[in-house]
Amino acid sequence: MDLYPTSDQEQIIEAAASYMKGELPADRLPTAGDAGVGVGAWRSLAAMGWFAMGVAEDKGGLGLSVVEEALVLREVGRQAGPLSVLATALAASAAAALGDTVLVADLASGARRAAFGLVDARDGGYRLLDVVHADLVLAWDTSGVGLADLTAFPGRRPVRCIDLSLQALSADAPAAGDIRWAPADLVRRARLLAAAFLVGGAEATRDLSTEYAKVRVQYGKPIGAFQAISHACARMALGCEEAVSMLQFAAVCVRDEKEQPDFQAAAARVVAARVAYDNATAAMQLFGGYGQTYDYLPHFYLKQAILIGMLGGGADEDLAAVISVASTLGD
Amino acid sequence: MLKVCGPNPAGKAAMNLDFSAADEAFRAEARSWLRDNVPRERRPEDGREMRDFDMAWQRRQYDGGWAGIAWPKEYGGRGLPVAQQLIWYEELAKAGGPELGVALVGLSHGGPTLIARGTPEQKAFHLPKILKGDVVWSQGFSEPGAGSDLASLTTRGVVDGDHIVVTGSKIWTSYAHLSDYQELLVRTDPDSRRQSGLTWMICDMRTPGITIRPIHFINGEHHFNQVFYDEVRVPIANVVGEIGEGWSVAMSTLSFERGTGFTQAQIELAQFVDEMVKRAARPRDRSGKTWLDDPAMAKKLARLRADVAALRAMTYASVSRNMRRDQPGPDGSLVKLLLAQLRQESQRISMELLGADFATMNDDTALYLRTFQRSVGGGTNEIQMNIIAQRVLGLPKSY
Repeated sequence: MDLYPTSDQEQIIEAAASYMKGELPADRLPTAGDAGVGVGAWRSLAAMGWFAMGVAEDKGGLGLSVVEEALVLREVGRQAGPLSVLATALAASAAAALGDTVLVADLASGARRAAFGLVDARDGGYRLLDVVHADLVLAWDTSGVGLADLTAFPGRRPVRCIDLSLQALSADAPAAGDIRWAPADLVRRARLLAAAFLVGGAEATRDLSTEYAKVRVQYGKPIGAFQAISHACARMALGCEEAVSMLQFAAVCVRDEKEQPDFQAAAARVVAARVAYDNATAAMQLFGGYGQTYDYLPHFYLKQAILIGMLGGGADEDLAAVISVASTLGD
Repeated sequence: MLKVCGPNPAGKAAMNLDFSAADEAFRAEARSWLRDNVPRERRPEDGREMRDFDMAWQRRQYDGGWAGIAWPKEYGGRGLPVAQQLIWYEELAKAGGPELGVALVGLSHGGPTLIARGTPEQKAFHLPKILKGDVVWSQGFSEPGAGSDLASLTTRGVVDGDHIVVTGSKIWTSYAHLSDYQELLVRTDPDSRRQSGLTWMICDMRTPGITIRPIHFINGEHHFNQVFYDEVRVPIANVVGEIGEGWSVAMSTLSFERGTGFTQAQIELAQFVDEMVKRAARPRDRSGKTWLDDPAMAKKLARLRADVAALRAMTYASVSRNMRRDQPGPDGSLVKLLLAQLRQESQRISMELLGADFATMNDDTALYLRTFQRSVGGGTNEIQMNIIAQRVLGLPKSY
């Protein structure tokens, strides 16, 4: 039993963190507009193996596990990275599970890119998120995870995403049969990787808040010297510790198929989604007026928490999976 | 171009929940012993009977070779590696074993402090008694005027020949009325302030001048006390560490508190929540409806369950870090904080599920009321948050 990352894993984390910090830092967002990630940068991500990391080597992937994949996506989430990175990584796993090796290869190489497809419960229509250069949709609703070509969605029209840095489309549902649904156990992977992305965001808002509390001076001292502020930061740290530990535990359970992986993965996203949301809103409050402005980062993390929290039918579905098991302790 | 490294040659050794063959053998041995030895009779709630019950259980563990699982072997303990301590507490909880009860202070505070700072004579005299369940220890730290701010304590100790004469009062002293010895922290330098000038000593509770006044807990149980010391003469030979060094001795006590010791409570909580979910699936009344049919209740239970799973993961993560360092870090405060919060939340939901049963004082309601001490005892939630803010996050001191 050991939840501490190995030195190999630490190298993977370090490489991902340093790439994100250098090339796609969260600081890019206030001025980035909605141009998304360019083709060249996308190819760089592909060259690092990020889109087929958890796919077996004989299926065209890197042959690492969902644990390493989660560790990388946590670093992407930490910089409020593109949602299409998460969608594309999931799409590759779905394609592998469907036996579509050509699609795995195209996603792995960066030739194709997936956007998220969120279903609108009221009319069955879709919201397609982060669509720049995307030609594939990773649909994830209460029935599971599926793949469809973007062009299969009729009536596509641009809409403004709540996260103004993301290009989004509204579309009608594709014809039955145009979405290829992946085997049911893809959902646990989707939940786990979504949790990883959310955990990174939750840690980022904890760190932004803590750093700000050390330098922002009011009443002659750093605001972090007031318990109303320091305890808010402590609660963020508690949430992060909870969410990170749950993520690591669940990732190992999913990789090794032990301790009811469906339960653990659902619990991981329940906790991660709550903490990501709570930490983002706490950070906005702590930044005062600045927290209300587009130029400061907390709101990007809030929107990331909202969007990723909605995938797959949102918290209700995760909670149903958590309550459905008879016992949580295994043997 | 940055590249991730290739497939991990260590394979599944990388981040895992697998226990070694030796650990699994240990688990089997512990499970089997516990199945045959965990007391089946109900633990008395109070008084001498409770003490006898807890001491008998401690003696049984001692005779079976299970006493002091974290204590070094040279002092009669098992000196188990952290992973096996974790396994022990997991198995103890799963077997329905009792918590330490009145043995807590001796095994988790007093004994470990003597191991860290005591003289050879003090160790030889006290440690075997603690392990065997012969003696009960209590903790004389908090005072009416010194709670979270422990360093403001004013109970006085005056050196008089080869004794220290103690006058003052301690409060919230669990099981003082059942204890033989007390770890007692007093101010021996009247001109000192704060952490300096304090002395940590072993006080024999039969010494003349000690008066114990019971304080009844909100569920009617008696385990708290206020203790009054009227010129109580404690031999200087009972001082642990040096006179005036009591604060550092007391801090060495506290750092023993935060290891795998929360595991048992946390497994019990997971079992409790699983049980609540089962109960919630049964018909509530003649209508045949269940609590799980109520979406608000189902969500509350599910959120609690996810948090309890995360608490377990947090404990594993913390144990993984503790395997790499000599002393537990400040992250133990995170586990304590979450455990207190989840115990209280689970009990609040339990109150809703039980309905009219909550009108009476019974096992369930006594337990419910007991959870209110979890966010105060052993350092309040607010103090834990100060520790996290300052020592985990590096924020400035707020007081």
